[in-house]
Amino acid sequence: MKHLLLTLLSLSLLVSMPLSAQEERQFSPDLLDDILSQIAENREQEEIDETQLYDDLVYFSQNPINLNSTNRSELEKLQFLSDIQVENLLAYLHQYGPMQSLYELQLVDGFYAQDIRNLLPFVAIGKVEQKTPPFRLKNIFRYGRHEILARSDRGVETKEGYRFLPEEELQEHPNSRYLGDPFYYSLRYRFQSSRRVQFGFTGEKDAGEEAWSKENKVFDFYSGYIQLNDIWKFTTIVAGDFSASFGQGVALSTNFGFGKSSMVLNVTNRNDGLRKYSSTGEFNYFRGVGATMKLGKIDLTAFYSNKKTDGDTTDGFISSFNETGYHRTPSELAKKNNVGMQTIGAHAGWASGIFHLGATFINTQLDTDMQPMPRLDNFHAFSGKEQTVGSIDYQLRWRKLFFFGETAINDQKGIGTLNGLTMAPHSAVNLAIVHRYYDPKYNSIFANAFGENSRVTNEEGLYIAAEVVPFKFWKFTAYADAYRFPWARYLVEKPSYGYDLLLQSDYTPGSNLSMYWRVRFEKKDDRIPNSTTTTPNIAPYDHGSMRYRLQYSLTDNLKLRNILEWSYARRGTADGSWGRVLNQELSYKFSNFPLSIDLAYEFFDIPEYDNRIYIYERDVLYAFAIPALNGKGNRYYLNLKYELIKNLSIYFKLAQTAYIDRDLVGSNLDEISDNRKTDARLLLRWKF
Amino acid sequence: MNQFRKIALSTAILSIGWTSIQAQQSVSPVVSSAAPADASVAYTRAWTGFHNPAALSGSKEITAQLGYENRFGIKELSIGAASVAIPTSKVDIGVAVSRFGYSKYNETQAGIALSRRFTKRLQLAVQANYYSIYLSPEEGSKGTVVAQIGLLSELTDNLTVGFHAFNPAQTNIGLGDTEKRIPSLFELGAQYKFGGNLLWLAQIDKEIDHDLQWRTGFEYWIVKEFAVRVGGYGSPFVPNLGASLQLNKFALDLNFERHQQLGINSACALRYAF
Repeated sequence: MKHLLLTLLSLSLLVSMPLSAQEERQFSPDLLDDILSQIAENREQEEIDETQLYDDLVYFSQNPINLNSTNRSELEKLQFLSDIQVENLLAYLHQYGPMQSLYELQLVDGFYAQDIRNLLPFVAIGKVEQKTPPFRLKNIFRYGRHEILARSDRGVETKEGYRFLPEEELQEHPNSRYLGDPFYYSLRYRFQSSRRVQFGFTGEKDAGEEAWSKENKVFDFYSGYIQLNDIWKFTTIVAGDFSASFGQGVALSTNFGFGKSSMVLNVTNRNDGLRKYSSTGEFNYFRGVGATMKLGKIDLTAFYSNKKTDGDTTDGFISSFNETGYHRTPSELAKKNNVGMQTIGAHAGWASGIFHLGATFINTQLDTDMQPMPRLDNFHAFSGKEQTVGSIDYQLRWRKLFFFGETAINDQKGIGTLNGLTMAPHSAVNLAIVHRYYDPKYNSIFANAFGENSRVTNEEGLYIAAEVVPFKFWKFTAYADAYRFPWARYLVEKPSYGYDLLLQSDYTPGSNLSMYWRVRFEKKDDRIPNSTTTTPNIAPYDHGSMRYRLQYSLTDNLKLRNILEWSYARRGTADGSWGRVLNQELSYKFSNFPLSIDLAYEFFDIPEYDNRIYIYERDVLYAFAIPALNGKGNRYYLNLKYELIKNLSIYFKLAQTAYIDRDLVGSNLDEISDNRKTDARLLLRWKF
Repeated sequence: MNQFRKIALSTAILSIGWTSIQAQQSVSPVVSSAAPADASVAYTRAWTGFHNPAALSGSKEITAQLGYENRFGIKELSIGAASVAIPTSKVDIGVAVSRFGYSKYNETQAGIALSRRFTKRLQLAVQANYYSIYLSPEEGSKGTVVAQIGLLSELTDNLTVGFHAFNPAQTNIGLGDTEKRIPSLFELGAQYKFGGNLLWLAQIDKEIDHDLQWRTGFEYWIVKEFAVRVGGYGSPFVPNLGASLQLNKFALDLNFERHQQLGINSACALRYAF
């Protein structure tokens, strides 16, 4: 039966798959678009550092997963797959035996055309391997690969912070000028020998930071790591900078989390454990040593971290952590590494068939007292020098149901709990339910769990999601999330409420054409500016968007993309405002010449900042640009990748935004006295 | 279905999603049905009193049901209901009562429903209710007769479309100078069966004085005896979770709604098929 189906599938041209084996397969930037642009929107950040997500994707594009000898933890590293998809794929392999062709993916429940296309660059069909080859020191460098990435960015127009100021004025206003030059640069070195041995180094200087001074020597931020996997009883050993994530992230996760997105079923935290940290983000990581040991059904993890971090200091105590990593002015520099942070953490897990149980403990000590600003929303915030958090997490798979959750308690006796269920009741329908309750008294410095707020505190909500494939080529996804904040939050000095709805329809008739329509609407209590009274006015804030995205390939080398998006925003009883963006993008890859080009043009007319629209852009490797467009004007960019010689590539991007509604762009020290903003970015990659 | 129609259909679905954003919740003293998110208009598993009476013709056995809804943990806002469905060869008969409120103020309904399967795929029904309110010992009870009409049409073996109108004549209870308004509700929706153990329900409601409202949900029978339900409705969005237990001739339904500000609304029903 399986062979008959395979033959039929092979004959069908429904999804024509480019299966040629290459050393490094290009994964679709659309995948990053799908994941990252919504994350940027949720976090309201233009720059997001998701190096770890990208690392995994690049690694698996170079070393595809052999589906015939894979396991759950390996598949879970492909974060765009939902738990249901991972489970269905493993169940398929268990039921029908090794796959003979990637075409078989069409037979696996929950894998639709777009999902398969996303997955293809990262998987391959090979022989069933029973055992991993033994570890030998002499093979480490023989089969290892080195990679060096050197990047530099610069804004073309001069910003206010780089203008010359007379000495007297500078002495009077020392923070009115950046200390350093307008170049951003970073250097990354990585070594990897299979998944077993990895080490690397990262150095970064942000634009405006000093390149050479008493505090800085070439770079402002230095980071390094060593990670060893599957050595004796140790599944992971890390030294240097590393990240940690356990359970659902309610107590501890410094890793990437999906949050709410159009990948509506991706609601669980992927249990990564310990892993190297190679990002340039300067706050959310540990620095020290850690190891995970596996003893039969039990795995034990322990780690220790001791690092300096940035804090806003006043009178000998800190009011908050400074997570930006910028040290461009004397006042920013004064915050650099002024807080000592020592963390110990441990996790124990027990897994037996369908059930997994875990316990996490984390204790953080600061060398400076934390005293948050005396505001109502900070009433329950972490204060003092020490925080301890403990949690219990579980996972249970029963029939087509997957239960998961974590409950944590901190030393303020605040409870944070998240519990969820994903279901695959039918091959055409998948469902997810997640409930979370984070007490206002609950907080954990390194938590990152599912929710509306980026902080895991002061929130209760119920999220329901469905994915339905009613007929061929069509997929409908929807989620609805109703939530409340039981205590005051920043700028909203009372308990508040909100809900968030998303409905998306995808149409993918073949590998050369896909489109979707997406409607999103959110209504939540927020502060409404009111010039007539000093009393804060809290009222519903409505925010909605409608997007149509079309992608098609005219030839194998030429791809085009269009986005039309409208956004709607309304605060209180004021009139609503509409913003709109029109995007055209063209990507061309030369057949006989190692050059690929992306060109894009956008027109935007967005009257209010509340209407801002995030559009994902192609960029150089390991850089993510998701600018928030607002105002009225045009934006266009050129993005190039050229392979100078084998293993040496050069990436270049030039982007400009031209406004027609303003003569000044940016604000404060980033202000440009022009109606244009131009950015150039250059990256060199050398692999050997 | 050709591609153009599919594109038109998906655009229409998205448009409904967009335009119903401002919808509000309507209120009536009726115990929530067992349907996920109370999307009951095309729900054929059970007839539950004052919902679509055409669902009466779905049962082949005499069935008795007791229902109770606790609104937000406030006893005075609770509703109790009882109903009996009696199928016959000519016409299916249903009798139902419900009571909302407490000793100082309450609203009561008593009704009789008649439903008939006219063809294999079409059921039509009418229901007459006496709707009364008790205001105080001095004023006593006042009441009026309220009509209901219902339709269920099985377009295919998997797809059923339903229509229901409660109080289409917009009858109200006269109280001297003023009157007690009785909700006038129109519902249109569908039930789709994915295989034998999954139902998808979706409907739109229009109470005459309120905005259009959508409801949708799934009912999944994990095993023959146990089902879970998930869905939601309205703006602000009200998520809804539920479960059913079916043991021989007994059935137990539980439903919970999470209202943004009011808290949890819970409903349960116990049914026995003779």
